[in-house]
Formats: sequence, structure tokens, C-alpha cells
Amino acid sequence: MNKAAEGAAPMVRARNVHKSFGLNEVLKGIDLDVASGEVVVVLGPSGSGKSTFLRCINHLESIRRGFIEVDGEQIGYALRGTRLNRLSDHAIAVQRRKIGMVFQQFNLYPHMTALENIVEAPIGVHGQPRREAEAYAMELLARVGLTEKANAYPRQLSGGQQQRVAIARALAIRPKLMLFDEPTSALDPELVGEVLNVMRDLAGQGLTMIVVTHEIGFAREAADRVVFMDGGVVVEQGPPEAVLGNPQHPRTRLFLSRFIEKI
Amino acid sequence: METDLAKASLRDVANAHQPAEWGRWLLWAFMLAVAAEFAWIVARNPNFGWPIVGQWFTEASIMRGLGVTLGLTVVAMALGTALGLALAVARMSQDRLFGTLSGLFIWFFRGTPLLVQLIFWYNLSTLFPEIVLKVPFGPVLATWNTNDLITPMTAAIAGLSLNEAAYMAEVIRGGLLSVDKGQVEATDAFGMTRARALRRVIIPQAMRSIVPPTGNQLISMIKATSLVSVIAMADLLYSAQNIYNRTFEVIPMLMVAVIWYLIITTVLNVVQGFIERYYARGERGTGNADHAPVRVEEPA
Ligand SMILES: Nc1ncnc2c1ncn2[C@@H]1O[C@H](COP(=O)(O)OP(=O)(O)OP(=O)(O)O)[C@@H](O)[C@H]1O
Ligand SMILES: [Mg+2]
Repeated sequence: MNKAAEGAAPMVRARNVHKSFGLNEVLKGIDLDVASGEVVVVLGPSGSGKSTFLRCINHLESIRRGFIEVDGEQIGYALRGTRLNRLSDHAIAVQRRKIGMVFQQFNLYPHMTALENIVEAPIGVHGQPRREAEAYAMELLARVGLTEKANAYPRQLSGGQQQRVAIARALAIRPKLMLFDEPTSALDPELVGEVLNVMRDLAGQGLTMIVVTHEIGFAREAADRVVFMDGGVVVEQGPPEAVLGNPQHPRTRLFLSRFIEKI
Repeated sequence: METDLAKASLRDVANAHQPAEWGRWLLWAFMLAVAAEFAWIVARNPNFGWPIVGQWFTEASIMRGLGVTLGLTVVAMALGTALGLALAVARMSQDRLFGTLSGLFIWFFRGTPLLVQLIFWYNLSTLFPEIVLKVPFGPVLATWNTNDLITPMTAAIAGLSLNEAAYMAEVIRGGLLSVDKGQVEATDAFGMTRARALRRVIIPQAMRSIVPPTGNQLISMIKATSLVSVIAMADLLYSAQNIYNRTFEVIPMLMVAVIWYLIITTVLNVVQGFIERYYARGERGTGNADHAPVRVEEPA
């Protein structure tokens, strides 16, 4: 099931990625390839730079060294001959249009209904006709089990329902890559399952996904590969049964032991 | 157990009554009586000259003055808001140049009295007899005679709208700052352009905190327009003054102006209410009351 080994051009290629906030170096040389259709779960202690790395992939944060490529295109920069030029804001916006993102705090537009939230980018950014966008939005709402909530405003929905709408919104742009930043961390425990179920379905449908989460169970069932980050570097990675079942690095063992105690 | 159940049905809030609040009703009655008596005293006081107020209320020069006041307010407010939006966005942008220019503009126009600004615009020709469009240290592209450009009307519009822009910029910036950072991030992540993100996501949410202070600004503006009388514009107040300078009926003529100002302000308050309700949509609890209906008991 590990598609990284297939040899096709990877969907994401990150090389020697460094990122600092002031003097605080948060990413210290990340190398990571994600194959097309692969589901990668990123684990790691708080402050290890997981969110930062995810946000670098769609250039919500700029990096200081190294490079990131998505679908064969370098993010944020373009090579003209031997000269690497920074892209304009507009060109960066265009690059982001094939990357879907789901946030910990949902970030739905509160003044728009669920349906309006979903069709906003397809109509306004991708220029789809409204009717087509709405038909696809209803299809996506059905997929996340919220057909009857199409006209509800975000504040009238539970956290789990909001996050499922947010997933539908990210899917509406037909992304080649989906980024999830702790999508269940803001949810009450009984609502976590409904969101993970939706994500498990997506993983089964061949979507390329990078998921930052603390849900070890999800990693075990849905991930093709688990990446363990600590202190701004990738400490260990491999198939879930290897990393979770038989971690090699002491820091991975320490991190996982906390979860095993809890369960 | 039986009695518990019986009690349970009595405690069902669906059958709740609202006890009559006699104290509040008495207070209402008292306040209404005070207001009625005050109105009666004012109405019968001959010094207010109500017949004269009625006679001049819709007189031609008053109506022209009212038109000038309303026209100046609308034009200056529209220009001021548009420029204010641009200034607010510039001030919040990452761009140093635009941020600094916007900051300087706001600093200057908020820091000097409006009256002085109006006089300055009106007398611009004494400072700069000609206005020239040219490349810095380079060739001249076009030239205008300042006296042709500056009339009392254009001086009033320039003065009022540039001053208003400085204040509106801060009102709008406050509104933009009140929008959750995650919203900006979401629009960025979906590849929206800055302009579209502002128009579709950021400004609609900022409006909730922009509208109330803008209502304030608008009402101040209606009254600030009376300053234009110093540059010979005949607004509402100036027209009223013109009449009492001839007839010496100072109080009745001021009452004419005051009543018109209050009518405009009332209309604006109602409109503001509608706008606020529009931008409050999506708030929890709008449209569906989630508590049981309560029967209100009228005092007999
Ligand atoms: N905008 C920022 N400005 C300054 N420092 C930041 C910023 N964002 C993150 N950091 C710092 O970068 C480090 C890594 O943060 P990051 O959010 O990537 O961690 P994380 O692995 O996602 O942690 P968590 O599991 O708590 O979400 C932290 O030390 C954090 O304080
Ligand atoms: Mg994080």
C-alpha cells in the first residue's frame, strides 16, 4: 500500500526546509516526499513544528532555506534560467488553488450558510457556474452527511458538523492535495468520530492527504505512512505498524508511551 | 411518585406566567406624564414662536439650505468612506510605502481643525495660484488655474471629505482588525485574491463593528457641514441665520434648523438599525427563539 515506493513523481517534495520566527528556529531541515494518493499522518509533541510545516506547504508561511514542490511546481518561487524569483501574491494565490486546507478552528465564514461557504471558492476563485458549483456542493454535503444543513449558518451547527462542512469546503475546489491541521483537536470527544469517519472515507478514495493529528487510532487505520517530528526535524517515519508498533527512536517511544498509558 | 408527576406537569415552563411588574408600569406612567407636561409647556411658550416656525419651516431658502446640507453630507461621506477604506487597507498592508503614506495622511487631517482645513482649501489660490501636473523635476503635463478649480462648493467637498476620510480610515481599520485572523488565513489558503477576500469575507464581517461608529460619523458630518458657512456656502443653518439677521426672530429660526436636523438624524437612526440587523445574520439565536413562549399578563 506504500505508494511512495512506486517511483512516480511525488505530489509533495520538501527538501531541507528551514523556518525561523525571529531567533527561534522552528524547522531545522525537513525532507519529506508524499506520493500521489498517499495518506501521511504527522505526529509529534506540541511545539515540534507540525503546523508550521503544513502551513509552509501552501505558503501561508514562507521558508528561509530549502524548497517545497507541490505537483511538480515550486511553491512561492519560480526558476527563470539560473535565477530564482519570488512569485507575486497573485501567482502564489493561483498555486494554492489546488491545495485544500482544513483548520483546527474550522474558520468557516460565519456570515455565509454552509452551502455558500462551500461554493465561495469554486465560483469566485475557479470561475465555476453557480448551478454546477451548488450541485457539486450538495454532493459533498451528502458525502459528509449534512444534506439537511445546507442552509444553516456555522453558528447553528455543532463543532463536528462545522468541521465536516469545512472539509466539504476544502474538497469543493477539487484539490490535488489536502492538508489537515489537527482537525479534531477543537472538538468534544464524542464529536471526534464523525469527523474521522469522513477523513477515513477520503483516505480510501485515493486523495493525497497530509494529516497532523494526535489521533493515534486514525494513524493506525488510515495512514499509508506515519511521520514523527520533534524539535523541527523528522525523527522517524515508516508504515504505521512499524512506527507505532515498534518505534526505533527513543523520542518516538517516549511520545507514544503517553498515548499507550492513556488508552 | 404520583404527586411528584403532578408537580412535574405544574412545573412545565410551557405553562409559565409572567408576573405583572407594577413598579415598572408606575415608572412608565410617571415618565410619560413628565414628558407630556414638558411638551405642553414648550408648546404654549410664546417665546418659541411656533406660528413663525411653521411659517418658515418649508420656505424656499430653508429648503435650498437643507438640500445643500444633505447633498454635502452624502457626497463628502461617500468620498470620505471610499478614500477611508483605501487608507485603512493601505495602512494595514505589508507595504511600507503605502502604510507610511496612509499614516501621514491620517495624522495630518485628524490633527488639524476642520475649520482651518476648509479655509485653507477655499484660499488655496493665494498659496498656489496654479496647479500643475508634472513629472518630479521633469516636464509639465498639464496646468490649471486654481481659481477655476476652487469654488465654495469644491472647497467644501474637498475639506469635508478629506477630513472624513482620515476618521473613516480609523473606523474601518478598527473593523478590519476585529475580524478573526483565521478568516484571512482561510481566504489565503483557498487562493482568493486580496480584493475578493476583502469584499466577500473580511468587510462583511467587519461591518458589524464599522456600522455603529459610521452612524456616529455621519451624524457629526451633518452638523459639521454647518462650518461651510465660513466659506460662503448657504447650508441649512446658514440659511436660518440669514433669515433671523433680517427678522430678528432668532429662536424660532433656530428651532426650524433644529427640527430639520432632528428629522434627518431620526431617519438615519432607523436606516442604521436595518443595516445592523442585516449584518448580524448568522449570529446564534437570530430568527429562532429557543425558549418557551411566555404569556404576558396585562395589569387590569
Ligand atoms: N506566528 C508565529 N510567530 C512566532 N512563533 C511561532 C509562530 N507560529 C509558531 N511559532 C512557534 O513555532 C514553534 C512550532 O509551532 P507549531 O505551531 O508549528 O507547533 P506544533 O507542532 O503544531 O504544535 P501543536 O501540537 O501544539 O499544534 C512553537 O515554538 C511556536 O511558539
Ligand atoms: Mg499545531
